[in-house]
Amino acid sequence: MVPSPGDDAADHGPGGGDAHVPVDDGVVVGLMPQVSAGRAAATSGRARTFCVGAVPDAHTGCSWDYGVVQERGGGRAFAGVAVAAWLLAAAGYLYTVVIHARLGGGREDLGTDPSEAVVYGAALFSAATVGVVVAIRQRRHPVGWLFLALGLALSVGAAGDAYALEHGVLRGEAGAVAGLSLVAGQASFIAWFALVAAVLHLTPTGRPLSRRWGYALAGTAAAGSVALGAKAVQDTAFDPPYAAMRNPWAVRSVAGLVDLVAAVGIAATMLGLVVAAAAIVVRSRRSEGRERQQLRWMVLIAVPLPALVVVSLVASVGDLPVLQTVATGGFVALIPIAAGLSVQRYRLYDVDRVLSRATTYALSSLVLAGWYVGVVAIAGRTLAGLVDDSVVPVTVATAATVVLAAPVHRRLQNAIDKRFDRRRYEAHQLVREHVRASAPTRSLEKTLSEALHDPTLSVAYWMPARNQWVSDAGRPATIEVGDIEIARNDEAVARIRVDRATVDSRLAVELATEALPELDNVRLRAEVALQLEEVRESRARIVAAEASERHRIERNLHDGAQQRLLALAMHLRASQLRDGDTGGAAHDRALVDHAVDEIGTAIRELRELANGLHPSVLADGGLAAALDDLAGRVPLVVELDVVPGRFDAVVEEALWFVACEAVANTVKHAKAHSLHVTVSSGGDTVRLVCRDDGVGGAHEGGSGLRGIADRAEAIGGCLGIHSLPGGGTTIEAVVPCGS
Amino acid sequence: MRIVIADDSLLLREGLAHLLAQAGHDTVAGVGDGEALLAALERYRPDLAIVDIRMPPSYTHEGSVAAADARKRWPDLAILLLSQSIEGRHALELARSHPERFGYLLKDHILDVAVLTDAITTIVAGGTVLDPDVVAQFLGRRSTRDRIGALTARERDVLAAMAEGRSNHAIAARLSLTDKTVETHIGSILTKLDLLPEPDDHRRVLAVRAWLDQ
Repeated sequence: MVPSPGDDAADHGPGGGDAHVPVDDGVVVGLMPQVSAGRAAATSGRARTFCVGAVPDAHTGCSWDYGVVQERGGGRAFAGVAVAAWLLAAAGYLYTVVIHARLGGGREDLGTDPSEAVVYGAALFSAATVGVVVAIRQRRHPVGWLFLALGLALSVGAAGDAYALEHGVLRGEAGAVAGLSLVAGQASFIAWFALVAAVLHLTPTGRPLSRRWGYALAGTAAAGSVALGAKAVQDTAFDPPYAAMRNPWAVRSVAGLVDLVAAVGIAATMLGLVVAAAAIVVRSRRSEGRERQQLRWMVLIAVPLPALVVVSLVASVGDLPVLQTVATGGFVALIPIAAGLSVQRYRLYDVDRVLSRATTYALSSLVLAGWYVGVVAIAGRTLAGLVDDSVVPVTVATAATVVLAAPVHRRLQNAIDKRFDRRRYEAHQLVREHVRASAPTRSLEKTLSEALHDPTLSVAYWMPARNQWVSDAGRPATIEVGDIEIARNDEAVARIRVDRATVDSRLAVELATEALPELDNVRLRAEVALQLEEVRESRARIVAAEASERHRIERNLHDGAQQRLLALAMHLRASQLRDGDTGGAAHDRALVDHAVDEIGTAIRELRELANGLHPSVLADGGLAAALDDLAGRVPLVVELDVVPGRFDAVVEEALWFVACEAVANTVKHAKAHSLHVTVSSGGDTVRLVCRDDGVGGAHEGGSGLRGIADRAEAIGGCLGIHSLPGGGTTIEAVVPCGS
Repeated sequence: MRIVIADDSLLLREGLAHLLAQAGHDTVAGVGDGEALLAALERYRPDLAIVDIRMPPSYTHEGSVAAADARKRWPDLAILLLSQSIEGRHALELARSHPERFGYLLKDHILDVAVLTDAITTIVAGGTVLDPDVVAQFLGRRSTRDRIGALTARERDVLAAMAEGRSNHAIAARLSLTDKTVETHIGSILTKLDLLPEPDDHRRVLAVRAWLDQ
């Protein structure tokens, strides 16, 4: 099926239930119900129009210039006519096949070469099928109708002969019908030539190349008509086995003139065909870019056309019916096929997909039928001595065919897609490669985006445990009405949002189904990513809470206990001074001195404690001041190279803790002489490097270093430790700048 | 001497006022933040303002900001900054720009009444007093050590003691030197720091300033 807005509306109906389309693997896919409703609304008015031909070409970004806007209501009648014509053509062929099959066991002289039937059938069905599709899709385009007419003409050619054979030759009826049908059958080739000429003239725009070429087309049509007319009244001497038959309409009085007119007409028609072939060559020469490539296949067929005409003539004159059929049927069949091939990439007639589907089904039916017949025959022969009835071989063949059906169809579809529907084939290839790759180099979203030529494509994954849609990175994702939902066993896996103006949602569904295992994987990874993100956030919150708690305790110590102790000591001192004035005991003064000393010690201890919790110098002067302070308090030569300026308090504190731990580590373990501390900022990060010249051998396993690594990571940074035995230790923290 | 105290802890203000009263000073006002301090200074025009560095609303360095404002408005006002822990950056900036009549002490050190009264005397007399811990930390820093490379170790000790506001005699006692040797060291320091002979106190202030400027 070729998807189109109209098709979808018809599928889902105006009510638009949640249309789930079951596909392989128990996967259910469907469009959101509201979509269908929306589409139905758009098509529910009287003037239900949709653009058929104007499908944008993904390669050129422009639409077909001969695209037509088609009214669906009116289109149905035309579609009916087209399908009826196809059925008629098929019926004629079927009739012919039946007649010839019945004759097979009869007179030897009436037997036909099976190859003839196959070539003829190929010509007839390719013409009629391409015709019906193009006629339905673009009813104003003449080529579809011309191909249908060609299919009918071929059918008439075959059926006319067959009727004459059955009634005129076998039964010896002398009626006019048998004679006329023989005339029609024998003369139909003129119509083939004229129709093919017209197709060549009118492909792909539906108009002749120019007015002059239009005259040539008209001339060919006129010549064909005259020739047909002459044939209708010509007193032809038919070849065997029709030698006994006569044209009932024959005008014998001017037989010479009629013969002449017929000969000239036929010659002119054939010449017209050659001219038409030239027309397509000229058209191709004049065309450029897209049109030129569209015409490539047509030209390929048109070039040897004169040769085929010549062979056909020679065969006709030399009385070689098989060669004649092969030659004429061959090229008549080749033109629709060429038209089909020309849509390989450039959507000539916009029938690529239909063509590929139809061809696949036709071919797989043929292959399977052949296989079935073959198996029946072989099994029947092998089992002839063992079983009596035909049930066993038939059963064996049925089973063998069923086993083969799916893979054969898939392979053929693949091979044909490669030829006819390049885009679909390439899209599938891309997705297939991605799914098969052990370590895909890009995200599935990117692959789907590329496969569907939609840079806006996005995928949301369903987290059933959280009741939430997320992106592949685990971030919350939004969903919209119209997203394509991919589900497994009725449980949503993912939703794909595409630009529905340009993307064929059925292809998107196909690709998503193909990618389902990978979608599942990505969903699991997204879940892990989501959990990781949550853990990261909670760690940051814990660190922040811890920092704020430390500040609170520091503030309380500073404003509460320390001040109280100070005030207490001052009062003691004051009372001591007063007592001194009034002559207190020396013993009391010593006691007060002792008490004040103790209080002073307590205050200093509290100060150290508070400073460890949150150094006031850090809040006061920033990292540079705090590191300066730190450098002054260690028994080492500390080189400082600190970028001036302030950073976010969280950043300063984290880096300060890193520096403290690094310095403590150096002092305790490194036996170092000097320590170099650098703080630099670049872009969005601040980097702290502490490098000593000690014995090295530090590792992250130590709880102190692990703690500062945690601290750096909690604010989105990272910690690196480079410490080879004897090579000194470098501890490096890189954290985001913060705000 | 008339003093205004600025500290957000009422307990501490009272304790300090009590102590100063016993030392013979008159606390004319006690306030809890920088704005109130400026208002009180305007109103009472005291000889000395004792200011806690950390005050509301942000509890960072409002005290030094207010002190800098006060310094601009009343250049003759003596200022003694106090802090709980060493928060020297702003105090030192203040000292650097205007070392006269300026002091900075840690709160626990003023529990030694002698330190407090000496500091008050020195500051009001026009000198500079810096807390020994602050000085030690400043001296301990390699960058400063480099810059004072011209001085000998002994001279640096003497300079640090000068910065603490100690008299020649106190310095001599502390470093176990004779007064004469201390004077020699001071002379050497002043020479190395390129300070011309001027009234003694002023030269000492300049020496401390030079040290701060390094």
